[in-house]
Parts: sequence; C-alpha cells; structure tokens
Amino acid sequence: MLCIPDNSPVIDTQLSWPALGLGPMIGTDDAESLKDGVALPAVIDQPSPHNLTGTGPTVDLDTETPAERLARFEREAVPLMSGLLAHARKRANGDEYLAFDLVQMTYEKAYRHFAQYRPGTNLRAWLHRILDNTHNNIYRSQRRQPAAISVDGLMADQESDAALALLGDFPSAEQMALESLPDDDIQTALAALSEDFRKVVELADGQGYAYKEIAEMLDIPLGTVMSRLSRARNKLRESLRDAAFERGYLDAASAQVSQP
Amino acid sequence: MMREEFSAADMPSGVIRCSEAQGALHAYVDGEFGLLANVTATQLSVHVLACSPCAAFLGQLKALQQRLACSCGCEAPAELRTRVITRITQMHVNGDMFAYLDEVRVEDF
Repeated sequence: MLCIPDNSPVIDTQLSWPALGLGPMIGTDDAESLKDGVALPAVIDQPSPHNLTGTGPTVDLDTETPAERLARFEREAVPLMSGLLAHARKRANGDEYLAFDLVQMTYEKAYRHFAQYRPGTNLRAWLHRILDNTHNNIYRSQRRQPAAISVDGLMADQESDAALALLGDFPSAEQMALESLPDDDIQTALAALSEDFRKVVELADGQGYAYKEIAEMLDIPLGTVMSRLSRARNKLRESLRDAAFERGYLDAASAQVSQP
Repeated sequence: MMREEFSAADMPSGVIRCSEAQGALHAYVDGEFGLLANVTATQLSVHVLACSPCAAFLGQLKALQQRLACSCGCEAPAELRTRVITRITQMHVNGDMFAYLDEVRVEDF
C-alpha cells in the first residue's frame, strides 16, 4: 500500500510545478529550461566528504583563465564520455546518431556552464543530469507538433517522465555511497556476479544496449533479459552496500536492506 | 521494513504496489518503459512521488547505472571523442559566439 512519508522528496525541497514539467514549462525555450539541467538542487551541491569523483586541486574560479577552464574541462569532464554515451544510448532508443548528438549537446552545454559547476562535487551526476535535461527538451519540442499532442495518454506519459527525471536528485545515503565508491569496488562487485548476470548488466548498463538487442545477442527471451537485469542489479546493490559499510560510507542502519 | 501486503483486489484501481513500481523502475531507467503493459507512466510517477522508499530506489538505480556505465571498459568511439573535443575547442576559440546555433538545433530537432 502507498505510504506518504514525512520526508517525501516533494515536501523537503522547493520543487515547483513548472519544474516538474507539468505546466508553464511547456514551450519555454531551451536556454531557460537548461537552468534546470545546470542548477542542481542544493543537496547534491554539498561536497560529499568521501566524494572521489570530483578530483583535482582546488580551483579558484575567480582567477581561472578561459584556457585553464578548457584544460580542466578536458581533464575532468571528457574522460566521463563512455558512461555518458551508454546513458545516451538508453535515452535514444538504439538510435546511435541521436545518442552521439545527445552526448555532444551535453558537452557543449556543460562547457558553456562549466563555471557554474562547483569543483569537488559530483561531476558525473552533473553531466548525466544535463543529458537527461537535453533529452527532455527534445521531447518537449516534439510535443509541440500536432501529431504528439493528439494523444492525451502520450502527453501524460511524457509529463510523468519529466517528473520522474527529477526524482533522482535527492540522494539517499545509499545513493551517495554508490556515487563515491572507488571503481575497484564496482569491479569487484561485478566480478562476483555469475556469468549470465554479468553479461546482461554489461550490455545494458555498461554499453547501453536495448533489451531487444540484448535478447538477440544472447539468444534469450526478452523476459529473461529483464529478470536477469533486475536480479543482477539487486545483487550489485547488496554487495556495494556491504562495501560502502566497510569503508565507513554507510552506517549500520543505512546499510540494512531497506526494501519497501 | 515490511508493509502489510494487499492483494490486487484490495487496491484502489490505478494504484500500484511498491513491488510493481520497482519492477517498472528498472525498465524506466533503461528507457524501456514502453515494453510494460501493466503499469502506466502516470501510475508510476504518482506512486514514486508519494513513496520515499521507491523514490530512493530510483535514485539508487540511476546512481548504479551511472557507475556501471563507466566501469565496463567500453570506450566511446574515437570519432565521437574527436567531435566533442573539436567542438569545445572551437567554442573556446570563438568565445562561444555561435551558441545560438545550438538553440536552433535543439528547437528544430
């Protein structure tokens, strides 16, 4: 049954309906809606004490020259491209050209607004957020065309999509831990999976292939892809939760399995 | 934490349970939501907006996915890498005077 928690993400933040994509946002121009993609909620802007994703020396944003900013961007943001491409492939539904375009647009926007990124915070999450936002903007501009507007159900689905896209930005302790664990722990957790599970995860999450493509590649039914993927992810979450506990990123209470 | 289990018949029509929501969220983060026949996007977002465990679950899935995307050793093609670096260098050299072109392109997509 549904519970209405007192710490619902909607209540403890300042989400407005336009920000949820449910109203006046429709038809705003790209520059305006981009603000959502760049101005992350305060909670994610807090440097996490064990954040390993935003590395590098402290930067003085006031005195940084454009050339230095370019160099910092290439050093820190560009290496995250493979992950962004995998994410873009999912959003692009197997359209490789669209996926490339999404990645490029993401980097253009990120570079243009790089001064707004706070060094030491989670750069990867920032970039992925911009990618989602870019993709939502494309949806929105498609929706203005008559064909898409004629189907009420489709509109409702896209609005819900915009609402859900925002939810990941209010991280739980476990999410913060996932974001800051060293790559070694991720590799160890992957290696502990059985071959069948690992293959599906690598194709889906690692490389961004669609379920249908994975089903064909591995010659298994679509339903098997889906069940293996969700079971593999649950196992990964379990072992990463343990790893986070051992490293002191999670306390005992948060490390408990908190399946609703 | 365990909640009382309700059978489907006990649920008000259109309300989905956490187990259904979480199953659907796997598909949602994969951009495969269209494959699901039993849950609509409206049902899912109504549930997730009201249920903090499921909202947290969504955040964890996204975070896990982001980490795995960088951890499976697949490299972005050199072609894309070159394209992006060229474009950014161009923006740097030109002081981003062609920013308006991007806006046009996104609108025209």
